[in-house]
Amino acid sequence: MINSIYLENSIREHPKARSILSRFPKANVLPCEHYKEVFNPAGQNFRLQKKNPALILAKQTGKLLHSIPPSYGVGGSRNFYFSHLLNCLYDCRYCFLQGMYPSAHFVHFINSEDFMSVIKQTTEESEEPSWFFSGYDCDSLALESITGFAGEFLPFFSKLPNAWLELRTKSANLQVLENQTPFDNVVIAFSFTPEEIGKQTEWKVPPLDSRIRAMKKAASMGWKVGWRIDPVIDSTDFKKRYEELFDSLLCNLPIQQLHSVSLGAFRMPSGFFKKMEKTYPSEPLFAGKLEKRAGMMAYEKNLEKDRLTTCENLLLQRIPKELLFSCKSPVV
Amino acid sequence: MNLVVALQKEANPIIQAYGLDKEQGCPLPFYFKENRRLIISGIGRARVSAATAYLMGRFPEKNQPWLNLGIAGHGSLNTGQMFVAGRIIETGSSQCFYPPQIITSEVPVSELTTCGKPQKKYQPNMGYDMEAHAFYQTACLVSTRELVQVLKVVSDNPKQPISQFKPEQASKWIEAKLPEIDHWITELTEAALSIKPNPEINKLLSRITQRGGFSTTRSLQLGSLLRQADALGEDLGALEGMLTDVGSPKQMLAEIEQILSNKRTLP
Ligand code: SF4
Repeated sequence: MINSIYLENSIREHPKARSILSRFPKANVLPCEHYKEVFNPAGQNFRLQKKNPALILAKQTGKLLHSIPPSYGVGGSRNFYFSHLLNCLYDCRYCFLQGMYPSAHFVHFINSEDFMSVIKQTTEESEEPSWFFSGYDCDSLALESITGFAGEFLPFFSKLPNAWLELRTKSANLQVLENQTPFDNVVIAFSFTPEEIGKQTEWKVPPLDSRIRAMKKAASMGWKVGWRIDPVIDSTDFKKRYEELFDSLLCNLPIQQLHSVSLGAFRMPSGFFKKMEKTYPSEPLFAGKLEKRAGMMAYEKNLEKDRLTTCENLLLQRIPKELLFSCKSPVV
Repeated sequence: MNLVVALQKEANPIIQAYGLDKEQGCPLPFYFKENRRLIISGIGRARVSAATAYLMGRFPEKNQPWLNLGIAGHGSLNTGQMFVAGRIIETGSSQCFYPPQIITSEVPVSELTTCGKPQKKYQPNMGYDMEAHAFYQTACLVSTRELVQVLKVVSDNPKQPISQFKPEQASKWIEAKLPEIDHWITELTEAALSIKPNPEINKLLSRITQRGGFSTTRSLQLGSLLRQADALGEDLGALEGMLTDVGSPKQMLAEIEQILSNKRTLP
């Protein structure tokens, strides 16, 4: 799966780097001074690299934690995200990563100790609970077999009760959750789209039914589970498809195990969108009923409102109001 | 596919294998057949830059595959073994290239140093040539980095230093690697095709705008609508037919918008 690995010179002897390298004895390993030398140059093609992405092992020496707006959270007032990984194993056509990053290589920051220290310090700065979102620049669990991220961070968060961790994923392989006693301050947030839409937009993603089974299993083990209905994608039979999705989710999850549901329409900074459209000129999703509003590409205003209201109503017929959080795009 | 090769002896097996014809009257030896082109640059940074730039000028289409092929020294690999450059540095330069490796292949990926003169000292896991860095730098001006690659066959190493190298061996080594070279040429060509926009869109765009009356803004809008029509599965020939009698550019844009409006929702 990984044929090429770039390794920052400064972490050549880091035990975690050595351990990852030992799992890919056949990979070609190349040195680099800084991951940005490989990752950042202009003139790369995300689509071509997605065929065979390399792994870059690096140390994050820049900012480790970033704030996110409260409207993107699920009830907390102190919200941060951090990235142990840039890019994703899966290939969702609506994913903003393909517009944001010049390269599709996986960059894994191995200095988890530094992330942990800043998370601990930030948590201790306030009595308010702090939320830490790990699936902003990647899928939190899809590359667990390489990164060992959750295996390391779950025990850490279990000892930090005032800090909440969201693991956001489309993975169906939750082995790592079985190896850990469930605890309260973590949410396993599964992203879902109706099956017919997923088949047109989500490549390399495990099938919907296996992800629903994984969700059911996680809940049965005692983990808190979230649904992330984001991005909402317009399609024919919109209401019927989303209704069926919500019904099958609810069928497989006792409501008391549901921590939160978040809802957000497809939206994208227009610069990212432009790049994505250029990368995939034949993609029907990008020729949808979209418009530019205040620097963002989004569904036409009335359509967006209608689709979000439809989902909101469908959800509120099924779940308590307190569990639903709407991610508002900057323009509504 | 554009192949840039330093020496005639390195190029001969490729010319024969693909049946390339020599073009007369070129400033540099140039061979071609259909979309395969090979130029013989001569040795060194300046010559390879000039040869690459020459091909770029003659065939200016963007995102074509480019391959620099030839022999090189190496600190660890055996003579006759082929490698692909995964990191290209140059003596005296801080600029470093990492050609993204998208082709699945058994060929090892190695670092490569481009030097001003033949190297007699070898470091482990390092290749040595005299062209790759300049080639890469130049070809990347017109092509995405994944499509620009450097393949080298080892001609000398610490056990068989360059002083023992006989130029006629170059052809034999390259010839022995033809199946792998062909794999790279095929894969890179397919990769380039996979990102090539539908050429019919631009042809249609220019046919319509030639009718006159299109401002720059309206031409851009038309181009964007035609791309969307193609993405939505609209038959461009049929679309052109529907637009034959449409009057002004403004009406035409409105007409296409109308045709597409009920196709814009995902099925
Ligand atoms: S799973 Fe998430 S991060 Fe991965 S490609 Fe899809 S949208 Fe992007």
